[in-house]
Amino acid sequence: MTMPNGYSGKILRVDLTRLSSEVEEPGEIFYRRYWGGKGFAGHLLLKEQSAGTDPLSPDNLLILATGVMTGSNLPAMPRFTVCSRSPLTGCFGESEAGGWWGPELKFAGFDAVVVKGCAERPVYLWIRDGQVEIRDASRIWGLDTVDAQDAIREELGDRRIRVAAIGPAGERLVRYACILNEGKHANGRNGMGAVMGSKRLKAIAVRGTKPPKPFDPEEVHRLARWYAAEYLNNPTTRILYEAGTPGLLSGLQASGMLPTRNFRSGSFEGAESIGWDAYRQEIFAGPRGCFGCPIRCKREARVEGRYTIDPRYGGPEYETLGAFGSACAVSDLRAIAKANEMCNRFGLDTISTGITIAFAMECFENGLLGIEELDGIELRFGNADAMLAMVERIARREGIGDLLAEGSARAAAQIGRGADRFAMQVKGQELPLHEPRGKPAVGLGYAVSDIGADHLLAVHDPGLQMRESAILKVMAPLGVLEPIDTLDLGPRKVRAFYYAESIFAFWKAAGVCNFGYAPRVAIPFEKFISMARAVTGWDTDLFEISKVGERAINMSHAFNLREGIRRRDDRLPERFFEPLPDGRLQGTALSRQEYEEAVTLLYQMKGWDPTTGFPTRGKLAELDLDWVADLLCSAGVTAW
Amino acid sequence: MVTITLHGVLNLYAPGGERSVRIELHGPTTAGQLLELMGIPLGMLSMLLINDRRVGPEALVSDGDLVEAFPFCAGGRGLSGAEV
Repeated sequence: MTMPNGYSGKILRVDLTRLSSEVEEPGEIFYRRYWGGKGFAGHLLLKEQSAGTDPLSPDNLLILATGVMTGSNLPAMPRFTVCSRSPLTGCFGESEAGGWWGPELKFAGFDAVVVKGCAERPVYLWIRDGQVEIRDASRIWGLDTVDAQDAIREELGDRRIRVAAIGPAGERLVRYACILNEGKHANGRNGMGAVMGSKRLKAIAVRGTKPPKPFDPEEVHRLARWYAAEYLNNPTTRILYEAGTPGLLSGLQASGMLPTRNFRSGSFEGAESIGWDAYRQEIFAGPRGCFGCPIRCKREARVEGRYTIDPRYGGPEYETLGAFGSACAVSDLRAIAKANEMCNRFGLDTISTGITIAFAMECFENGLLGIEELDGIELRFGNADAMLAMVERIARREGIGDLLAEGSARAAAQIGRGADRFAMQVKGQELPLHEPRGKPAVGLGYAVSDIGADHLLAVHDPGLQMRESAILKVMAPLGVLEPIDTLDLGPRKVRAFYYAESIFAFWKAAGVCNFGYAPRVAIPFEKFISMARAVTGWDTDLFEISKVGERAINMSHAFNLREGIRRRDDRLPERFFEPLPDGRLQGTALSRQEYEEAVTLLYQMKGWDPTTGFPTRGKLAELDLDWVADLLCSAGVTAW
Repeated sequence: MVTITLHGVLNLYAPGGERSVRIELHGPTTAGQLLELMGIPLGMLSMLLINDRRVGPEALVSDGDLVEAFPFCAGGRGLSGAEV
């Protein structure tokens, strides 16, 4: 067997019921077929988990997986994925995070941790250079995420330990509870923190001193130096360094596509108060990044006074500014920073929390939730203090918070009387802050995504609109050569989506941040391919990585088919087929016919039956997934 | 004199960070030339408008025009939806 390059070759298995662990070495073919993350998890969840497993039961596997590139001393490669069956959607669950935890796990000798079972009492895992210990967590159960992290570091006597922890929200099984490392890097979506909480697993602490060796260390060094010199000259990466994701907000507002008042409008009168210009002047405390990445797109924030924040929890990203700002019609930047701090402290996904509160605000304004049901809180759009009170109630499942902790879809079903029309969700997961009427391919992605609404599936539409676009130029090796109108959802847009989706899925497998490389920024594919070769020693290319992505997508899709998810579940909220009432896109709506045709076309391109969503046996075989066809047949899902 | 408005993060490329500037024209000038003069990389654009009509960077500008530039993460169409 050849020595692995870039990865350790070992996967740690932990059984919390038996309080035991073992190490598995699946071999190079496994690594090269899947590259890690979403790919590993798809394989394991299909092969080892039965259909219908309760997401909050001991049988639900919790998989934390790096990719073969994670921690490789190259830019934008800090990421790891947490996968499980999602308690929010009932579908394949998946959420990536940056920070330092993923690289540290690898340095500790493991590429992934697979947890099953449930501990009798709260525990945390302590992984150090190949050694594993399941330790008592009674003392830290109940603590906020950073306090738990600090307590573990103190107990183990090492400040350099990296900790992925849940907060009180995960312990209370809030369906969109998240996992945080360093208090600000979140595996935010799909409720992976609730799965961890259901296993009474408070945290996983890691410390490693043995990074896997890359195939060609000199070439890795040369490429890292090239990137460090290039990223400030390249306008697409430079802008992420300068403004981070908060820089998105004012452009979306000017374009009439800033989700406002629970997506009722695309234009927010308070946008100027919460955009990057205000952020920089009022709360910005410096850039911050992830392991090995010079871009440093994350923002530190400082707020004192009425909404004082603990700076250890970082500053709000764009999605959080939109979710607690324009979507809730709150124009007080400090209150939004406070909501962000509270979510990171309690371990809540900021997108689902903000959009669930926006849903409740619309219910209140339409008389579907009364002030008595809201614990006496006047939950109007724009009421920042009411919004913050809801965050706390959700995290603690107190009063109305217990209902909202279930997510907007379940809450709407319980409220009844047509409340579901205010629930901005797909497959149970709340929408990120991108307006489908202004970005129709992003809307298509929301609908077809296996994990529920997700904005990180493919290139956002405006990047393809102008011939001069740097994003369009880097798409050329995928065969996307001509500009495509932002509002177009015809065959050329669907094709661009299909190709880019495979690349974005590959990033989620390999541990790569999409902010580092084409097609999200204009760092060409060829540079990434050189990096992948230098790290792994594999003679890889764009074809292979795009097939790795498509393979991962087909596995998560097969998981959903086995759970009974069908094309009928690829459904956008009705609101998006109604015209925007104001802003630069006033009068714009998605055409239902064009949207349905786009979904059909995408299914056909993917080799999926446009009615049922079943992949053809040929497509699965082409992706080296013929075993998935057999598995679906034996599960009684379909017969070819 | 033409007015140029830089939407979203585009103003961060302008040396002084200005969001809106007025420029005196000296001879035939395109919208793209004006933006490059201000330090805006054309590859960062998703949309260019002259008086709310969508144009390419090769479009000539005239006295009194309002030129608006949008960054690649945003930008769909002008309020009127018109193109040239």
